[in-house]
Amino acid sequence: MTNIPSSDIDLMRRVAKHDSKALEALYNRYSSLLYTLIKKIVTEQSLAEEILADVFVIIWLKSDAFNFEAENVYTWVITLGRNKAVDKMRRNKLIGNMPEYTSEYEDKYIIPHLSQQIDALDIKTALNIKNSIETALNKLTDAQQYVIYLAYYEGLTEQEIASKLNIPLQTVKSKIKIALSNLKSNLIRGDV
Amino acid sequence: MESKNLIHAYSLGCLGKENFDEMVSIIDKKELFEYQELGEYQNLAALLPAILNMEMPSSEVKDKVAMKLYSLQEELKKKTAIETPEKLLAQHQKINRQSAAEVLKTLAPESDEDDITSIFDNIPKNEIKQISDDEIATIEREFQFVPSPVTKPELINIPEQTKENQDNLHRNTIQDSDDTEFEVVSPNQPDAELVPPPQQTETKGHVIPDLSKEKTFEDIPQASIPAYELDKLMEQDPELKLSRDKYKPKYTAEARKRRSSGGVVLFILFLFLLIAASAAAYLKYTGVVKGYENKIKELNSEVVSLQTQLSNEETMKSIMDSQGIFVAELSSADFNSKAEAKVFLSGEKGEALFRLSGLPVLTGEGVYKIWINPGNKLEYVVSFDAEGSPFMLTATLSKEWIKSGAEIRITEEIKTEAGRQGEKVVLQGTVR
Repeated sequence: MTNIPSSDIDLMRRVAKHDSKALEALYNRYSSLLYTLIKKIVTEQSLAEEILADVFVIIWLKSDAFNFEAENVYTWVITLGRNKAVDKMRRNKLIGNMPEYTSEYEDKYIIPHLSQQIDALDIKTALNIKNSIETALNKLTDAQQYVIYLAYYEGLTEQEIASKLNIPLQTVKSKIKIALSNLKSNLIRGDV
Repeated sequence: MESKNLIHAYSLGCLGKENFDEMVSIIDKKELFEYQELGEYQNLAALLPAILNMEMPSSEVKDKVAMKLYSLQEELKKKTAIETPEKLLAQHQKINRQSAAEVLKTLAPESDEDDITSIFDNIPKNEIKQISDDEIATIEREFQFVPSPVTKPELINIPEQTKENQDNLHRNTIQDSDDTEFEVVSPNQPDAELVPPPQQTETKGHVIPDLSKEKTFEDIPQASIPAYELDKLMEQDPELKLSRDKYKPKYTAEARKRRSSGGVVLFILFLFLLIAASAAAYLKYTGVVKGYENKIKELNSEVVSLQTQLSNEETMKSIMDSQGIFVAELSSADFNSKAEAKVFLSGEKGEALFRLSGLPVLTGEGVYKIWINPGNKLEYVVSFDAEGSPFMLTATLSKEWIKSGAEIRITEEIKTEAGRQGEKVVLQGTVR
């Protein structure tokens, strides 16, 4: 009898019921991508591994914050990993005024607050369209790519980007808007 | 609607605190909003890392997760045990005679991935389900719900001790138990145990002679019999003669010579070792110094590179900050060439930033030159050598030349032939 791999959402449902094997299966599925993302943000290997472990502890403890109706495990897990890594990086570099890290803080600023209407997405689909995303991203101008990089991977706020590039805040806002809109259009035009 | 403008930045995770709080409030309160659009952009942002080159975390991270969950669970358990022992006891009574293992077995959720050898297998599912009989017995004893039985000390394998250690242990035990009769040791009354008698000492099987028995030259008593009478006495007493012969110096001239040459050998050996050690130390420190010199060179070149990078970034910022930004992508007509360039131009400031890659390093008198044709005339911009790839280059040029449709060329030239464009165009493209 062959085992059909569980879907992301099935695993997440089982994690919510404290099934440790489901957590391990989810770890096996997401750890590589999450680690790559976290390491891109914090750069240091040992710190990235520590954050990765923390992310799975959060998934285990706070799976009830996940919207099971939306069935979008991918965006929730990746956004959680990104938020955690950016938070750690900003704390380490003493960027901005970081409040004390409490459970309430985690619920508000680390756990993703996803839209009620969001299309289901899993890691398999995300990795399948990897090339299309890359093509869409490469079609953006360097300035647009740079702004996305500063926001997503450097974890800078709009205001911080404006200060870094010495350009008005409004310019940053419009650049981010245009960059993401173009990325979306490029991806759609790429027949994804 | 103002909040709608926050969608993009919120999805990318770069909103300031105030705007972020506003967005979270809208989402959590499920107010009317462009949720479809927000969802699309949130998915889009989350897709960004999918293009990164995957790296694997070390295998210990999985263990770390399991350990963290364990320690958290242990903490919870301790808390629960301290706060609500009655509750735990009630739970224990409820499950009655069932063993903790059986309870866990029945309460554990079924899994269809049981074939995975899981290191998370033993992560407790639930604090209450987890409590074992022994632990509950401990809690019962601690809170005196049942009479605490007299327990035997846990059996531990004590490593075999030497008789002496055992004796010491025994003695210590006695002294500890008897707190009134400490023996007073006076410095004027040396104790037999404290001052060991002269004896041979054994160290790892080697017998070291008791040096206290050895006589020194100072210990030999002064002769009470004059030397001239000694010979007479010896003749009378052969035993005394034998005894004197025993103490006669045994060194002959040959032995002395041998001893002296041995000393020379030792001295040469010592000198040789000294020279070898000095040479080794010299080589070592020379190596260290060279290492530092190389490091200094590396750091210097890094500083130069960073200064260049900083200058390029400043130009980039300046261009980004200006009004009329133009971009040109230069490519080669030669399909086999890997050379390419991107040019950012500011019409307002008359600045250009060239990002070049794949250009081969020219030898001899060769040099690259950049030209721009704004309409009807080819204008010279700057010359450069390709120093590694990719690299950045900044240049200032006339603002009038920077316009959409202007053509940029990079050509390969001879250094001495300034101001004239040769035949060999390496890269070209149009300003957009």
